[in-house]
Amino acid sequence: MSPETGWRRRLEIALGSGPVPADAGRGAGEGVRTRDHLANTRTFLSWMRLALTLVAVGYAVDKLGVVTARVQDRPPSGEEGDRTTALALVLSGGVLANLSFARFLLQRRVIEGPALRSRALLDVTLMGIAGVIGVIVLLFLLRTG
Amino acid sequence: MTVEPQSPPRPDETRPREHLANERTLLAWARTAITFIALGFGVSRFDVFLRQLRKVDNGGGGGAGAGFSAAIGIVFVLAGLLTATAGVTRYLEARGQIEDGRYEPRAWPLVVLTCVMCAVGLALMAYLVVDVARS
Repeated sequence: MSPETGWRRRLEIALGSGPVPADAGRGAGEGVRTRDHLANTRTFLSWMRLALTLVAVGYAVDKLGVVTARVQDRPPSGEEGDRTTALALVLSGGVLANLSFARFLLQRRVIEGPALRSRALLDVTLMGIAGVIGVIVLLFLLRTG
Repeated sequence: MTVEPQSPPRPDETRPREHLANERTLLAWARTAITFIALGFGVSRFDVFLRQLRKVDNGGGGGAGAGFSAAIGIVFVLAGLLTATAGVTRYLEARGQIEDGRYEPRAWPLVVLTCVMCAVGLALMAYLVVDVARS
Protein backbone atom coordinates (compact mmCIF):
# COMPACT_ATOMS: atom_id res chain seq x y z
CA MET A 1 0.00 0.00 0.00
CA SER A 2 1.96 2.99 -1.24
CA PRO A 3 -0.16 6.12 -0.87
CA GLU A 4 -0.03 8.56 -3.76
CA THR A 5 2.11 11.52 -2.79
CA GLY A 6 0.35 14.15 -4.90
CA TRP A 7 -1.13 17.40 -3.69
CA ARG A 8 -4.40 15.64 -3.02
CA ARG A 9 -2.88 13.26 -0.52
CA ARG A 10 -0.95 16.10 1.10
CA LEU A 11 -4.18 18.07 1.44
CA GLU A 12 -5.84 14.99 2.92
CA ILE A 13 -3.07 14.68 5.49
CA ALA A 14 -3.27 18.39 6.26
CA LEU A 15 -7.03 18.20 6.77
CA GLY A 16 -6.85 14.91 8.63
CA SER A 17 -8.94 12.87 6.21
CA GLY A 18 -7.93 9.73 4.38
CA PRO A 19 -6.85 6.42 5.89
CA VAL A 20 -5.31 6.55 9.35
CA PRO A 21 -2.18 4.45 9.85
CA ALA A 22 -2.84 1.49 12.08
CA ASP A 23 -0.06 2.39 14.50
CA ALA A 24 -1.24 5.98 15.07
CA GLY A 25 -1.38 7.16 18.66
CA ARG A 26 0.99 6.89 21.59
CA GLY A 27 0.48 3.17 22.01
CA ALA A 28 -2.07 3.32 24.81
CA GLY A 29 -4.89 2.07 22.64
CA GLU A 30 -7.51 3.56 20.39
CA GLY A 31 -9.62 4.86 23.26
CA VAL A 32 -6.81 7.05 24.62
CA ARG A 33 -5.95 8.30 21.11
CA THR A 34 -9.58 9.27 20.48
CA ARG A 35 -9.83 11.15 23.76
CA ASP A 36 -6.52 12.92 23.07
CA HIS A 37 -7.87 14.21 19.76
CA LEU A 38 -11.19 15.29 21.26
CA ALA A 39 -9.37 17.12 24.05
CA ASN A 40 -7.22 18.83 21.41
CA THR A 41 -10.37 20.00 19.63
CA ARG A 42 -11.82 21.39 22.86
CA THR A 43 -8.58 23.23 23.57
CA PHE A 44 -8.78 24.83 20.12
CA LEU A 45 -12.37 25.88 20.81
CA SER A 46 -11.31 27.45 24.11
CA TRP A 47 -8.62 29.48 22.34
CA MET A 48 -11.26 30.50 19.82
CA ARG A 49 -13.53 31.82 22.56
CA LEU A 50 -10.59 33.78 23.95
CA ALA A 51 -10.08 35.30 20.49
CA LEU A 52 -13.76 36.15 20.34
CA THR A 53 -13.47 37.84 23.73
CA LEU A 54 -10.70 40.06 22.35
CA VAL A 55 -12.99 41.06 19.48
CA ALA A 56 -15.80 41.82 21.94
CA VAL A 57 -13.57 43.99 24.12
CA GLY A 58 -12.45 45.82 20.97
CA TYR A 59 -16.05 46.66 20.18
CA ALA A 60 -16.71 47.75 23.77
CA VAL A 61 -13.65 50.02 23.86
CA ASP A 62 -14.82 51.66 20.67
CA LYS A 63 -18.46 52.22 21.56
CA LEU A 64 -18.44 52.83 25.30
CA GLY A 65 -16.44 56.02 24.67
CA VAL A 66 -19.54 57.60 23.19
CA VAL A 67 -21.55 56.72 26.29
CA THR A 68 -18.78 58.06 28.57
CA ALA A 69 -18.78 61.38 26.72
CA ARG A 70 -22.52 61.55 27.12
CA VAL A 71 -22.43 60.84 30.85
CA GLN A 72 -19.75 63.50 31.35
CA ASP A 73 -21.85 65.96 29.38
CA ARG A 74 -19.26 66.40 26.68
CA PRO A 75 -20.25 66.37 23.04
CA PRO A 76 -19.26 63.09 21.39
CA SER A 77 -16.38 64.04 19.15
CA GLY A 78 -16.17 60.78 17.28
CA GLU A 79 -12.73 60.02 18.67
CA GLU A 80 -13.93 59.01 22.12
CA GLY A 81 -13.75 55.30 21.57
CA ASP A 82 -10.17 55.47 20.32
CA ARG A 83 -10.51 53.41 17.19
CA THR A 84 -6.84 52.55 17.01
CA THR A 85 -7.13 50.66 20.28
CA ALA A 86 -10.33 48.98 19.14
CA LEU A 87 -8.90 47.96 15.78
CA ALA A 88 -5.75 46.59 17.43
CA LEU A 89 -7.87 44.45 19.76
CA VAL A 90 -10.04 43.08 16.96
CA LEU A 91 -6.95 42.41 14.86
CA SER A 92 -5.19 40.55 17.68
CA GLY A 93 -8.34 38.43 18.04
CA GLY A 94 -8.07 37.43 14.37
CA VAL A 95 -4.36 36.66 14.66
CA LEU A 96 -5.00 34.56 17.77
CA ALA A 97 -7.70 32.60 15.92
CA ASN A 98 -5.33 31.70 13.09
CA LEU A 99 -2.45 30.80 15.38
CA SER A 100 -4.65 28.58 17.53
CA PHE A 101 -5.62 26.68 14.38
CA ALA A 102 -1.91 26.19 13.65
CA ARG A 103 -1.52 24.98 17.23
CA PHE A 104 -4.29 22.45 16.68
CA LEU A 105 -2.63 21.02 13.55
CA LEU A 106 0.73 20.78 15.30
CA GLN A 107 -0.69 19.11 18.37
CA ARG A 108 -2.68 16.70 16.21
CA ARG A 109 0.51 15.48 14.60
CA VAL A 110 2.07 15.07 18.03
CA ILE A 111 -0.90 12.98 19.18
CA GLU A 112 -0.54 10.65 16.19
CA GLY A 113 3.14 10.25 17.00
CA PRO A 114 4.67 7.93 19.57
CA ALA A 115 5.22 10.46 22.37
CA LEU A 116 2.91 13.07 23.81
CA ARG A 117 4.46 16.36 24.83
CA SER A 118 3.14 19.79 25.46
CA ARG A 119 4.18 22.85 23.52
CA ALA A 120 4.80 25.31 26.32
CA LEU A 121 6.59 27.86 24.14
CA LEU A 122 3.75 27.95 21.62
CA ASP A 123 1.09 28.17 24.28
CA VAL A 124 2.90 30.97 26.09
CA THR A 125 3.26 32.82 22.77
CA LEU A 126 -0.48 32.55 22.19
CA MET A 127 -1.07 33.72 25.73
CA GLY A 128 1.25 36.67 25.02
CA ILE A 129 -1.02 37.73 22.18
CA ALA A 130 -3.94 37.52 24.55
CA GLY A 131 -1.83 39.55 26.99
CA VAL A 132 -1.79 42.33 24.41
CA ILE A 133 -5.32 42.98 25.60
CA GLY A 134 -4.04 44.03 29.03
CA VAL A 135 -1.34 46.36 27.72
CA ILE A 136 -3.61 47.95 25.12
CA VAL A 137 -6.45 48.56 27.56
CA LEU A 138 -3.99 49.93 30.15
CA LEU A 139 -2.55 52.40 27.63
CA PHE A 140 -6.06 53.33 26.61
CA LEU A 141 -7.11 54.01 30.19
CA LEU A 142 -3.95 56.05 30.92
CA ARG A 143 -4.50 58.17 27.82
CA THR A 144 -8.17 58.88 28.35
CA GLY A 145 -7.90 59.26 32.13
CA MET B 1 -12.37 4.23 3.43
CA THR B 2 -10.94 1.07 4.89
CA VAL B 3 -10.83 0.66 8.62
CA GLU B 4 -7.65 -1.17 9.38
CA PRO B 5 -7.52 -3.59 12.27
CA GLN B 6 -6.36 -1.72 15.32
CA SER B 7 -3.36 -2.60 17.42
CA PRO B 8 -3.50 -3.07 20.33
CA PRO B 9 -7.13 -4.24 20.46
CA ARG B 10 -9.35 -1.80 22.27
CA PRO B 11 -10.99 -2.90 25.46
CA ASP B 12 -14.63 -2.10 25.05
CA GLU B 13 -14.99 -0.40 28.42
CA THR B 14 -13.21 2.75 27.16
CA ARG B 15 -15.98 3.41 24.67
CA PRO B 16 -18.34 5.23 27.10
CA ARG B 17 -15.52 7.62 27.98
CA GLU B 18 -14.88 8.32 24.31
CA HIS B 19 -18.54 9.11 23.76
CA LEU B 20 -18.58 11.36 26.81
CA ALA B 21 -15.46 13.16 25.54
CA ASN B 22 -17.23 13.59 22.20
CA GLU B 23 -20.22 15.03 24.01
CA ARG B 24 -18.05 17.51 25.94
CA THR B 25 -16.59 18.57 22.61
CA LEU B 26 -20.11 19.18 21.28
CA LEU B 27 -20.82 21.34 24.33
CA ALA B 28 -17.64 23.33 23.66
CA TRP B 29 -18.92 23.93 20.13
CA ALA B 30 -22.25 25.05 21.57
CA ARG B 31 -20.56 27.53 23.94
CA THR B 32 -18.59 28.97 21.06
CA ALA B 33 -21.69 29.33 18.90
CA ILE B 34 -23.67 30.93 21.74
CA THR B 35 -20.86 33.43 22.30
CA PHE B 36 -21.11 34.52 18.66
CA ILE B 37 -24.89 34.84 18.86
CA ALA B 38 -24.88 36.72 22.16
CA LEU B 39 -22.26 39.11 20.85
CA GLY B 40 -24.28 39.71 17.69
CA PHE B 41 -27.35 40.46 19.76
CA GLY B 42 -25.38 42.82 22.00
CA VAL B 43 -23.78 44.66 19.10
CA SER B 44 -27.04 45.26 17.26
CA ARG B 45 -28.97 46.29 20.40
CA PHE B 46 -26.22 48.58 21.64
CA ASP B 47 -26.14 50.20 18.24
CA VAL B 48 -29.84 51.03 18.46
CA PHE B 49 -29.08 52.76 21.75
CA LEU B 50 -26.14 54.70 20.25
CA ARG B 51 -28.19 55.78 17.24
CA GLN B 52 -30.88 57.06 19.56
CA LEU B 53 -28.28 59.07 21.53
CA ARG B 54 -26.95 60.55 18.32
CA LYS B 55 -30.47 61.44 17.23
CA VAL B 56 -31.14 63.31 20.49
CA ASP B 57 -27.78 65.12 20.23
CA ASN B 58 -28.61 66.21 16.71
CA GLY B 59 -31.84 67.80 18.00
CA GLY B 60 -34.16 65.13 16.72
CA GLY B 61 -32.43 64.91 13.37
CA GLY B 62 -32.15 61.49 11.81
CA GLY B 63 -29.24 59.33 12.92
CA ALA B 64 -27.12 58.00 10.10
CA GLY B 65 -27.03 54.53 8.62
CA ALA B 66 -29.25 52.01 10.35
CA GLY B 67 -28.51 49.41 7.69
CA PHE B 68 -24.89 48.65 8.46
CA SER B 69 -25.25 48.05 12.19
CA ALA B 70 -28.11 45.64 11.56
CA ALA B 71 -25.88 43.86 9.07
CA ILE B 72 -23.04 43.45 11.57
CA GLY B 73 -25.40 41.82 14.07
CA ILE B 74 -26.67 39.45 11.41
CA VAL B 75 -23.08 38.53 10.46
CA PHE B 76 -22.41 37.55 14.10
CA VAL B 77 -25.57 35.48 14.44
CA LEU B 78 -24.95 33.71 11.12
CA ALA B 79 -21.42 32.96 12.31
CA GLY B 80 -22.92 31.37 15.43
CA LEU B 81 -25.35 29.25 13.44
CA LEU B 82 -22.57 28.10 11.10
CA THR B 83 -20.41 27.18 14.10
CA ALA B 84 -23.24 25.20 15.69
CA THR B 85 -23.92 23.36 12.42
CA ALA B 86 -20.25 22.45 12.00
CA GLY B 87 -20.12 21.23 15.61
CA VAL B 88 -23.21 19.05 15.37
CA THR B 89 -22.12 17.55 12.02
CA ARG B 90 -18.70 16.72 13.42
CA TYR B 91 -20.23 15.28 16.60
CA LEU B 92 -22.37 12.83 14.61
CA GLU B 93 -19.43 11.94 12.36
CA ALA B 94 -17.13 11.33 15.32
CA ARG B 95 -19.80 9.24 17.04
CA GLY B 96 -19.84 6.85 14.11
CA GLN B 97 -16.06 6.71 14.06
CA ILE B 98 -15.93 5.89 17.78
CA GLU B 99 -18.43 3.08 17.23
CA ASP B 100 -16.28 1.79 14.34
CA GLY B 101 -13.21 1.90 16.55
CA ARG B 102 -11.24 4.20 14.27
CA TYR B 103 -11.28 7.90 15.10
CA GLU B 104 -10.17 10.21 12.30
CA PRO B 105 -9.05 13.64 13.52
CA ARG B 106 -10.71 15.84 10.91
CA ALA B 107 -9.79 19.48 10.65
CA TRP B 108 -12.58 20.76 8.40
CA PRO B 109 -14.91 22.01 11.18
CA LEU B 110 -11.99 23.97 12.60
CA VAL B 111 -11.19 25.38 9.18
CA VAL B 112 -14.82 26.53 8.99
CA LEU B 113 -14.62 28.16 12.41
CA THR B 114 -11.30 29.88 11.67
CA CYS B 115 -12.68 31.30 8.41
CA VAL B 116 -15.87 32.43 10.18
CA MET B 117 -13.78 34.12 12.86
CA CYS B 118 -11.68 35.95 10.26
CA ALA B 119 -14.81 37.05 8.38
CA VAL B 120 -16.40 38.38 11.58
CA GLY B 121 -13.21 40.19 12.58
CA LEU B 122 -12.85 41.84 9.17
CA ALA B 123 -16.53 42.79 9.12
CA LEU B 124 -16.26 44.38 12.56
CA MET B 125 -13.11 46.28 11.61
CA ALA B 126 -14.80 47.57 8.46
CA TYR B 127 -17.78 48.57 10.58
CA LEU B 128 -15.62 50.49 13.07
CA VAL B 129 -13.74 52.28 10.27
CA VAL B 130 -16.92 53.20 8.38
CA ASP B 131 -18.50 54.34 11.62
CA VAL B 132 -15.75 56.90 12.30
CA ALA B 133 -16.34 58.37 8.86
CA ARG B 134 -19.95 59.15 9.58
CA SER B 135 -19.79 60.30 13.19
